[in-house]
Amino acid sequence: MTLLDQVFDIVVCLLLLVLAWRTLSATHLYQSAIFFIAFGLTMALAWVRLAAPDVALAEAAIGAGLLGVLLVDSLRVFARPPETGRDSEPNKPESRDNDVTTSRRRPQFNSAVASVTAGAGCLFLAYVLVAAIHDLPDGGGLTAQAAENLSRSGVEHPVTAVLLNFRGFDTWLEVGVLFLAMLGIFCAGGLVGFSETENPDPPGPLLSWLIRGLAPVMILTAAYLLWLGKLAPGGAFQAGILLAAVGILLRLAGIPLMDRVPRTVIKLGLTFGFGTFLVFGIIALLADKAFLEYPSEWAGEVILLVEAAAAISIGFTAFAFFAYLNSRDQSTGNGDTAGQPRETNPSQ
Amino acid sequence: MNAAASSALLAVLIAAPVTGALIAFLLPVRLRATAGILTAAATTAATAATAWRVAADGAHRHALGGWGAPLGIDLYADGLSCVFLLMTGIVGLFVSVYAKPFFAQPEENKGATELFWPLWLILWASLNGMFLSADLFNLYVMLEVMGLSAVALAVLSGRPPALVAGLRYLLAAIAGSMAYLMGVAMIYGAVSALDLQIVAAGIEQGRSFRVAFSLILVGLLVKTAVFPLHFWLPGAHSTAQAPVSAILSALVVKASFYLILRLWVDVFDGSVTVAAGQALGALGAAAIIWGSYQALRQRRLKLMVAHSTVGQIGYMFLLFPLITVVYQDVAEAPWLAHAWTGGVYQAIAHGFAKAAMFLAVGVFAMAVGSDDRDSTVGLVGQLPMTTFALALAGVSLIGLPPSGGFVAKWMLLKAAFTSGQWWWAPVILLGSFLTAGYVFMVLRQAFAPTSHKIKLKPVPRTMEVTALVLGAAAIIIGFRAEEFLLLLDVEAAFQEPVEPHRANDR
Repeated sequence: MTLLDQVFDIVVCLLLLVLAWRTLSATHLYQSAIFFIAFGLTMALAWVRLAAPDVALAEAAIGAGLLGVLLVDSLRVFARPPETGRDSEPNKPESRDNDVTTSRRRPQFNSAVASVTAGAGCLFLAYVLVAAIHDLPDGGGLTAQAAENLSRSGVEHPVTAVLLNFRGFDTWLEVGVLFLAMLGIFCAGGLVGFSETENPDPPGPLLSWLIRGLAPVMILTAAYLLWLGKLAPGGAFQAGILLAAVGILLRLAGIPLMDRVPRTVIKLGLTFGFGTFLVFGIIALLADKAFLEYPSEWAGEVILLVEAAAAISIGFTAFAFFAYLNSRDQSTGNGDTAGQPRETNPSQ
Repeated sequence: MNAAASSALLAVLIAAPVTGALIAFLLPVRLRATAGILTAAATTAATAATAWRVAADGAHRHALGGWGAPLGIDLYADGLSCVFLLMTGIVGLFVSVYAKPFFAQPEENKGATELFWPLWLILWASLNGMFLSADLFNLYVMLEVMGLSAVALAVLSGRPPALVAGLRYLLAAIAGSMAYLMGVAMIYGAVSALDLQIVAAGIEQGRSFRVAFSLILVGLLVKTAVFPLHFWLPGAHSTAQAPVSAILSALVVKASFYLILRLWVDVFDGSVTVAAGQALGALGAAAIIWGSYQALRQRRLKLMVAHSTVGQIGYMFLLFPLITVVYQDVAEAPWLAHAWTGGVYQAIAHGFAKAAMFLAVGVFAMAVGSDDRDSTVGLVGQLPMTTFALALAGVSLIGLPPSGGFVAKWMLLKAAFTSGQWWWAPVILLGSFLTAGYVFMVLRQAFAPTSHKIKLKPVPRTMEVTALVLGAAAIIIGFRAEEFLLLLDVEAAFQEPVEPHRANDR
């Protein structure tokens, strides 16, 4: 490692610490959100430096991209609480001036003694952890076993082999976690009508035209990323987030995809990835093999199919996070269409 | 432990409820309850078949994806897993039967209740996964699935108090998961394996491994809501709707308790210390006193039952000091079998009793329109079956003979005296007295004579019957201790002491 590499790493580390601190200490929630996006991007850089390009791609797409959009978008929803929404959020400070995004009460400790104690405690905990991690032997991981079995996995990229084949069960459940997050948003959505924002300003003709032109290219890129996962960094999660980005951009350009697609299709899209995995798992069980065991000669094809299904679901779900945050606040704002989110609501 | 038979049944226990959940989600709302109950019946049948097979041929192992540990993930079922699986199966089936008429009531069918069935069936799959998975990282994923579906269920009604409590629950669950994951990462870095058996063989003595296990332990203690980390439980469990409260209190907290027990006994048995065992016992003792006392003070029935969960969880943790002992010869420690039976019996008996109690309180609240303790005056005349269910569950929680709770507390008491750790005995007794206090306060109100008859809203018969069946189950398992012990014995490291790490050979 050259001196320049070391300097670069130190700068990235310091930057991460500073950004984390600024995210926490910003007085304005918008500031926090922006610092958080910067933190995600820097984190992606750190993963690149740790020679984990798969994680870096995912971090940049999800940690900085999607989460950033969702954070900023939620803040816009929360920015103008209507009179009716007040009692549903009892902990919210008085907000006559329509600006709750400024958190006036910054976290304060009761006294200097308490903050010193807490600080000392954290330092001690950090010391114990660092000492323990330093003392632990380095086992070297399961890389060798993964490489040994790579030829039987159906793909050439070890990360994809681990995610989709060796530990496909974990990935299946992770796709399920995303589905659960979607359902969780609907459950929490029983709290209706905390905003009466007007429709977002329609973008200018140039931007609108640009987005429409870019969408097919992005879908193509997503398909390429998906296929690439077989031999290089890439795969379902990265491709899925890119698909979600297409939906989000189109919506911003004034084409609300989610409202045009029938509910049955949305429901199928949300469950497609979780379900496809499951179908292959059950087929394997019926063929007297282990759950999620792929036939060795078809493993590559099955993995591509499962990944494609997962990417579609991930795209649908991530886009739905954004779309429903929006549709809810728009429909409740009009007053007379209180039932509108129900129409596209896939929970029914 | 190595010669485990292979069985596809273990995978079915996870795949079946997920299949049901997806089908229920795709079906129109009016058909979901039927699909849900059918799935519940199938899952319970598969659970019974698994327990039967394990009891007959010993432990079973299923290598997911056909790879096998250390590269792949294994599912593993022995006696201890089967005991918890069976409890989940039986409680889950009856709660499902209760839930159908419950959510058909217009005043309960608000918010996002149409999502109850998909969420509950996925939660069930993750509970089964918690009891089956033999992989530290897969267990983390299971914890995530379980935590997310549990939180979503807790806020199903969409009422503001439920949302506030649910958010607290979510934050506690995520903090717990992160601590667990950090510990797992440290272990994986050091031993290059995630399979419980391989990790157990690779762990060395030393402080750093103990730090890693402490992180895992603290994460799981938050999820189990052990005093003083129980702050999220009373709110989340009491603001949820009745079937959900039953699921959360009877089953979800048991899954993380099971994992603590499994890791303590099977994986980290070389790293634990006598002091750590005593510390867990002390937390349990504090939970018994604090939770039961708080339950006594509540005026709302659901809050009372939720605080009672905090206290009853405490009893389960008395297991750890009693099995973590320095020993020379197993024959010198005859109390171990008692401690084992007591601790595990407490988890099972509480599962049945607490589910019955929440379901019964749900019937009361539906009939009266409020769960205020004083509004139950004279209810025995109009809702005798539900009052009886509540009484049966209460008998088991107090630990009166002949109930499952009695066997649990009696065994723990016996173990405390024979092992010389007499200091746990007064806590067990005091907890029982406090429990008797709050149970009898409710019963006194219910049996109080009233001059005027209150106008009650009719409650579906099915709901009353299911509460009674679960209440009766909490009593009946008191008579079935032998079968229980035979099952618990299968391939277990159980009935053996945990040899603690002695302080001087660091």
